[in-house]
Amino acid sequence: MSQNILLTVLAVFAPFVSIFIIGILTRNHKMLSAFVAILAISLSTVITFYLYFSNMQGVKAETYYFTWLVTDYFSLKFGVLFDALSLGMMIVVCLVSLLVHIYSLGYMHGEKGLARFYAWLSLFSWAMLLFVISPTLLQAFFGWELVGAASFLLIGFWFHKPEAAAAAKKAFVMTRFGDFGFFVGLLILLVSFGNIDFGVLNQLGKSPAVNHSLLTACALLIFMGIMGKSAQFPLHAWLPDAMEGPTPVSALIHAATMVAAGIYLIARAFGFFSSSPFAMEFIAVVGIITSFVAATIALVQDDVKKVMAYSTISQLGLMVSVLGAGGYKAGVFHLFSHAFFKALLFLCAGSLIHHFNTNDMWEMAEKGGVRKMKITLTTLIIGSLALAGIFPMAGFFSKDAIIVAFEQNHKEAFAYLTMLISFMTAYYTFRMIFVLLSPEPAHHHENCHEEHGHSEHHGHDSPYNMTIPLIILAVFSVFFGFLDTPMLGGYFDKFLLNKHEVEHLHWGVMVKSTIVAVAGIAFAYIQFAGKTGRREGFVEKVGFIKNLLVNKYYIDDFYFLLVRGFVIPFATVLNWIDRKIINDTGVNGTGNIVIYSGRFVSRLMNGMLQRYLGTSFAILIFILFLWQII
Amino acid sequence: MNFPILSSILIIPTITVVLILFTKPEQKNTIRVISLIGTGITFLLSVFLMVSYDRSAGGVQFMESVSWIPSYGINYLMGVDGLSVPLVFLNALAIFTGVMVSWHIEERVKEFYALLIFLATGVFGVFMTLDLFFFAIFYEVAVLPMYLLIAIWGSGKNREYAAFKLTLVLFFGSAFVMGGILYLYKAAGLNTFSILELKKSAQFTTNMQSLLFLLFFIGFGSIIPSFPMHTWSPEGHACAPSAVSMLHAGVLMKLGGYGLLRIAIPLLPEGLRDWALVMMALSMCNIVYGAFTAIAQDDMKFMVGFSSVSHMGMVLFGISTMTLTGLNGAAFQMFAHGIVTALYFSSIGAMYNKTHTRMISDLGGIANIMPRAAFFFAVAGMAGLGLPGFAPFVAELMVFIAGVKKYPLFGIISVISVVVTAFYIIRCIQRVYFGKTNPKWEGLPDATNFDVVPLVMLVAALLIFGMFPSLVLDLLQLETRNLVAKLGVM
Amino acid sequence: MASSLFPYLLLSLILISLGLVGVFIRRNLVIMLICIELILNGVTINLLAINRFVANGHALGQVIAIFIIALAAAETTIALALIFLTFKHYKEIDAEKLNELKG
Repeated sequence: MSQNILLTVLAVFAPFVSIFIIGILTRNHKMLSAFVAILAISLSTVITFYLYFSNMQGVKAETYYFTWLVTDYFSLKFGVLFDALSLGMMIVVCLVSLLVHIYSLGYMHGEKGLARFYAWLSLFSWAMLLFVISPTLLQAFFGWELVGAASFLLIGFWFHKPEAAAAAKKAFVMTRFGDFGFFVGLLILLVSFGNIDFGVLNQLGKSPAVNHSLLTACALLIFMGIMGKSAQFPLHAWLPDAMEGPTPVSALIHAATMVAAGIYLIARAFGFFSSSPFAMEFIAVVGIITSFVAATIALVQDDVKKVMAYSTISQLGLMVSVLGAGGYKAGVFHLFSHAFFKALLFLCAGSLIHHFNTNDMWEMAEKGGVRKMKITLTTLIIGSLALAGIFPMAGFFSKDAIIVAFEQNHKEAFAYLTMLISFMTAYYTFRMIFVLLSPEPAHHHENCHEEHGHSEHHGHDSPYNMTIPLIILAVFSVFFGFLDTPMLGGYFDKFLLNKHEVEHLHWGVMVKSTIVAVAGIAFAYIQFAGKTGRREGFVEKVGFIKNLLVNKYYIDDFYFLLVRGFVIPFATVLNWIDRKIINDTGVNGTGNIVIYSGRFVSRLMNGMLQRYLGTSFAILIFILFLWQII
Repeated sequence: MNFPILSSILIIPTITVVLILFTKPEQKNTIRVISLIGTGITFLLSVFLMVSYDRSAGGVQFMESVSWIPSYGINYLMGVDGLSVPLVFLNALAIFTGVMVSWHIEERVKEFYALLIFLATGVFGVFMTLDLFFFAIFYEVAVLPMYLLIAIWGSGKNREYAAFKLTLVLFFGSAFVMGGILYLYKAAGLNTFSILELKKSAQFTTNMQSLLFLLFFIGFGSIIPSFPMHTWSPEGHACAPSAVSMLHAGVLMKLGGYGLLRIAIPLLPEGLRDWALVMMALSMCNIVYGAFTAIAQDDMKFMVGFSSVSHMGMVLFGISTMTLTGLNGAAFQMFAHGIVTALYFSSIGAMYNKTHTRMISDLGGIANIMPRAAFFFAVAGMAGLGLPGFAPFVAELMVFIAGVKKYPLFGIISVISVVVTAFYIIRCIQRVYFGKTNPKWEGLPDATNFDVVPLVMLVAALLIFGMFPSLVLDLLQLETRNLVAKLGVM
Repeated sequence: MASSLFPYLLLSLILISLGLVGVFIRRNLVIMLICIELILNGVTINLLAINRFVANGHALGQVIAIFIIALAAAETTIALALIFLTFKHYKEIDAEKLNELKG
């Protein structure tokens, strides 16, 4: 076992140990539990960075297997796949997770179940890392399911809130529905080819002996799981609801890492997916539809977390779409850069929510004081600029890379749609910013101070354990994008693809996308800046579009109808059949036949002693007679 | 002669029962402690058995043989192989935790513990004997006390009906088993009831095998329970006290699968081949229909009961594939499902002791007042819906792999149950444990430290066997390999 | 002592037939009991005679005869006690009227 593998294993299992330490030893000590969890994830982070710096100039892919289960028919291996992609993803996961761990100290301060919270965070970190390092699809599924469970537990962390409980259920069941496809696809692959690792999986398409329609079917089935986990249309409806969970959780799980697991999986099995042109086409189309749908819904959201949730879906859609179009690097690059700035945005939102005790941007604006939260506001604006794709933020470069990838793969329509989506992205992001920056109503402000005299932190920023993670993420959001520029020698290409020629900058795309993003911001500025009170943007002014968007294209209603109108009635009918037909008719019926035939036979019992005697004597004679014959 | 460990496993619970019978009914704590010690020793012995079973040698070990009725070839023949060792362990775990779970029972404590342990003794006997005659005797011993346990200590107004139905259906099944055994004895004509002897030298014609297999399939199918003889199971679970449900669903149902794997398949491999499709069709009903029906249940124990129907369908499905992976999966599923259901029922019991209702619609927000009970139900639920890391995932994975390989279409249909199971479990967790607490339940105490001990043991077992499935699977494989060899190379 | 089997068999046949007829047609429990005794005695004679003429030298028939006598004594005791109790309870020993077991 090489050093790299050993360290990777150590990094993955540090949070695993932490779960048990918290669960068994420190569950009654809040701060101690937090300390254990933070220590564990710090260890992972330090190891990951060490691995990165010792392999900075290109990673030699290594795999190592532990045998887990051997039967004569197949053997299940667990292992570690150490390459550039997994190392990059590990850095993202560990870093964001560490920052979220620290941030939660402030955000969840005084929370009763803090030990539980940190145990679940550790569980999530472990499961996610296990997923990231998996060399086989089966192990990926293993981690995939576990992150789902951790997500369920964390969304439902405040389980006493009915909305949180419902959201947790919805998230789990909906992703599980997608996982049905994943599981079937996995089973078919297992049965047809055995427990093969990604290397072999990616080469399958090249072998002529393999049935290509089978591969397409598997790719589509596995993509179904990705649609669930990465919230692709129409299985995206759980993600906005999942915002009921604590905000640090939303930042970690529902923005930066878990929802990106699907993207990671496509990237990991890129060769496999690209062996099926139909599957790739399908993936690209689903991605772009998702992106468009989510971006339009985000236009009218009032809840800051919902805005970000829809924007997450929209960005995930772009990544899926570009991967489907064949833009491997663009998808992965956007995955990483998005992880940083979206985590940043969520944590900023958390800081605001922590401060104002509301999720509604209008109410925040009304209470006033956003401008006084200097660090939060600055980092929020940095994050928004990155999301909108303004130079020199990370989002600018990664979004351009997507557009370039579309153009290079001759999908011009997708490139234009991406432009449209980035226009909407810039618009809804800055709609939020301008609303938050609304001038405070003077009279209201005074009232505010009188009424909320106790809230002495009014006008202050959040505590340092919350702002420092913001600053770190902001730094990443600003500078990460340069990794892909010729200024740094196209470092990202070199690291990820081991490619040495430096790609030149695509000035045309840069100019176009900047114009589009600035137009979006300007549009938002015209409609929202400098005013007070609730106001409507251009979308809300058109009645039917507003209805459509506010009702989220009625997708939630569709699912509600599906469950209430089909699944539960179906179950009720089956239950009725079980009770009435199988039990009452079948089982009790048999019993009743016995009872009635017993009653019939019992008529022979007339209580006449001598008749019984006579009968038995007659039978005796009869038997003797028979015996004679035989 | 070595230390007769198998007879000890059988005799120690028997002695415990006798000791209980000689204790005054008023001395409730003495009775409980006696039961705990007796089952505790048995549990340790079973752990010892599992550890000391020689995995490299395989085969039947720890054999004990005493001639009983030589003229009919009946011997007190005990021995364990890779298939029975895990199940002996499972039963010991279930009865040990079951004794702890029933600590709070105040009514007729003496009779309760005596019957409960008597029942477990019968199950031990079934798992350890290699003589068909003793198999039949122990089988009846295992089934009989259930009637009293449910009818006397059960809950709900339906309990006598449930107990009656359960007993009748199980005896209906055991009549077929008994007939099958006697006919098998006669047809083999070797004047022996020893399974080993029969396995070695009995010859049956194909038609005979088919007929005998049908008898055993009906007999064991009614205890597994296979559709459409499953209706005793949810009702029986629902009315039984927690410990009885644990034993019942955790172990008693496994007698059916065990009987198929121990008697029917090695002796009548042709029979399985004839009936495999029927078995597969019925198991489909179990898996999918059971899972959907579970959604509609309002009583939590009914829900778990139907989930058992669904999960035991996996055992049948695994067997019907007639492949090594399928048989491994089926055997492992018996083991894993035993632990999961024990955990389900004990955690429901921990809540029911306080709330005295299990109606999902009456409950809500229980996690606020009883975080421990909620936690353990959630763990059981996660394990039950096949979350990786827990034992059932491994079993289901193997069954599904074998299923998809052998019957691609039906294999995929059976995977639907994964989604449906997630739906009803998560929905139940949401409606019972999450949300606002009904003021009616405010102030109820949570499970005590003592209550938690059995639950922790079960969770530990789930995790250990989920993460290191080889511990059990290597044992099971020793035997399933022979079965597959009997079935011919598939 | 007659030296042939036949008279003994005839005697036992007569006794058994009388007993059977009595058991079937008489309604009084005591008489029925007496008739059962007749049957038993008939059987005893039968056994002894066959033992003497068919398998002389063996004692099995005699042993069984002694068993029957002992059993008959016990049986009569119990039956009489039952009849006595029945009479105390129902004021009746007519078999036709004691039909509470009618299904």
